[in-house]
Amino acid sequence: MDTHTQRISGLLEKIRMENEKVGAFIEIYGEEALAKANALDAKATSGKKPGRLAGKIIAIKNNIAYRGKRLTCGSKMLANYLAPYDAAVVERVEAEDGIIIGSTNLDEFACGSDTTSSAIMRTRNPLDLDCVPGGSSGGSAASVAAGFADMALGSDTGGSIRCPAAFCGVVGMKPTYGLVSRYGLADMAMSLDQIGPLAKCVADVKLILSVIGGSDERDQTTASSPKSVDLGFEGKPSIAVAREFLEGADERIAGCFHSLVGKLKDDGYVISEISIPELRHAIPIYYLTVFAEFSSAMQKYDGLRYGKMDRELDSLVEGVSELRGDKFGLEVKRRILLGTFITTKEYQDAWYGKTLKARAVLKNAMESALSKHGLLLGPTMGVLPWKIGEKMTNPLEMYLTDMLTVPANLAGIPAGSVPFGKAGRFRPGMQVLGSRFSDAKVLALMEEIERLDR
Amino acid sequence: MKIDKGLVKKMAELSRVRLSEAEVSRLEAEFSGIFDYFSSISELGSGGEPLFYVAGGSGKRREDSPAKGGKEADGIVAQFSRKEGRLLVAPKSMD
Repeated sequence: MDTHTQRISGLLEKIRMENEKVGAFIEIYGEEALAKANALDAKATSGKKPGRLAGKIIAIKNNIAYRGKRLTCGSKMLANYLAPYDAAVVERVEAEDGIIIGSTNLDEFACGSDTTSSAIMRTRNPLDLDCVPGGSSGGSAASVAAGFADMALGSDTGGSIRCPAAFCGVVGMKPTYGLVSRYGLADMAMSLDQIGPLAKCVADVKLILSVIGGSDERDQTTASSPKSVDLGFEGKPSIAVAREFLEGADERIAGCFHSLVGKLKDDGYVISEISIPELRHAIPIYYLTVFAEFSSAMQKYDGLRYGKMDRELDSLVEGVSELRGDKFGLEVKRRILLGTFITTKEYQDAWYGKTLKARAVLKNAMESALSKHGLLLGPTMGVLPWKIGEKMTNPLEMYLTDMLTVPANLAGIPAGSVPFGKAGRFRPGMQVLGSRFSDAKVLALMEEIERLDR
Repeated sequence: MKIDKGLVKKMAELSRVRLSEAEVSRLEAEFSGIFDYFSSISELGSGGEPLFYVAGGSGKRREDSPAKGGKEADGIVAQFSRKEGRLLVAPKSMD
């Protein structure tokens, strides 16, 4: 059997040859990965017990801090910013002997659904290089699909793990809000953001989630998280399909979904069809929430504190405005302006106040459906990956592609995507949603779907 | 909802983001469409429902004791664009 060092060396060579084509990595941590592999080989020789992730090779989205390395968030604004500390998830992965191999590309500040808004580089879908990998964790999904890493970490604010997982034919999981510490994650919208894993198989997603999950005093949202994450199987659950999940879905994706439902029924699952009409409002509620929280999160980027800039600011208001105008991409500016607008005194009741109320209504509707039916099932994305550049002209068209993924973030519940069936070169993702902290149950059904796909 | 160039410029000014004229024109056209589509939230969010709160029962308090660690400070200071010793140098905000 190969040593860890041999495997890493081989993989670094593969990445060197192929990353340019796929564009998954922003930076490769070759030296650090080799040092870690050496240490693991030495540990194995000395007979010490290896960690739970021993030998697993992991890529991390470049909005997750890795000490001393560039934390670009896909933006020119942070092009020279070096992370001053490790994110909680990085600490946990390394403590269990995972080997972090590099940082992956993303939409600028995670704003996007196809990774084309990155100011750093272009990422392509390993299943079809002319197509987008999905986003915003496009580099993470591509790194797993291209065989550059066993697992990857992404962040999911409205589908940013599940969309690229579905587009690249891998498994992706957005855990319950509050299960995984976000200490060291550059925030996008704090009431929605969650770090989660992507991998080739559900077993690996379970494994790494059991390592990164659990409370952390540096992220208050994890206060009610269980101390350790039990990922055991919980029996055959009942399942509901909301008919809104299939409205407007591509017929090839709907075909795979119906075939899955048939197989699950043959396997003895009880599947009921329900309606959650509130889902039709999910996109406005989601984006209005994001605009408000995002514009606030971006205020800190003033060109003074986050790495050297290419100029010295000579005035505070004009200088900072000009710098932000130059360094932020159009989608980031769009969201900042819209967020500023809906939170001004004049408009906050008409927009942001209504958004918060509508979010509570949608969350309650989702929770009530889940408490009655156990788990929800639908396609992850209603569309197949599009050609690079195809949806860059109309922002609303891009926003609407997130229709099926945003409800889980609005309700703070776990949702995972697992490939099922085939549509041309692609393997459409099927999405499983569960109640808060029922991540184990969601993963159990995902494993069943994976089994039925064989 | 009617959005004009003046409103886009006002939002940009409040956001501390300078826009080119081309960007102002583009955003003016897009924002009307976005707000028209998003106005459907009134159907769900106009009643007496409570506001959504993210905390939902957590809000556990920490011990009132000095934070552990604190080794991050040097790394953060090192990232200042301009500094004097450990102080951040910023341009004057008023004359």
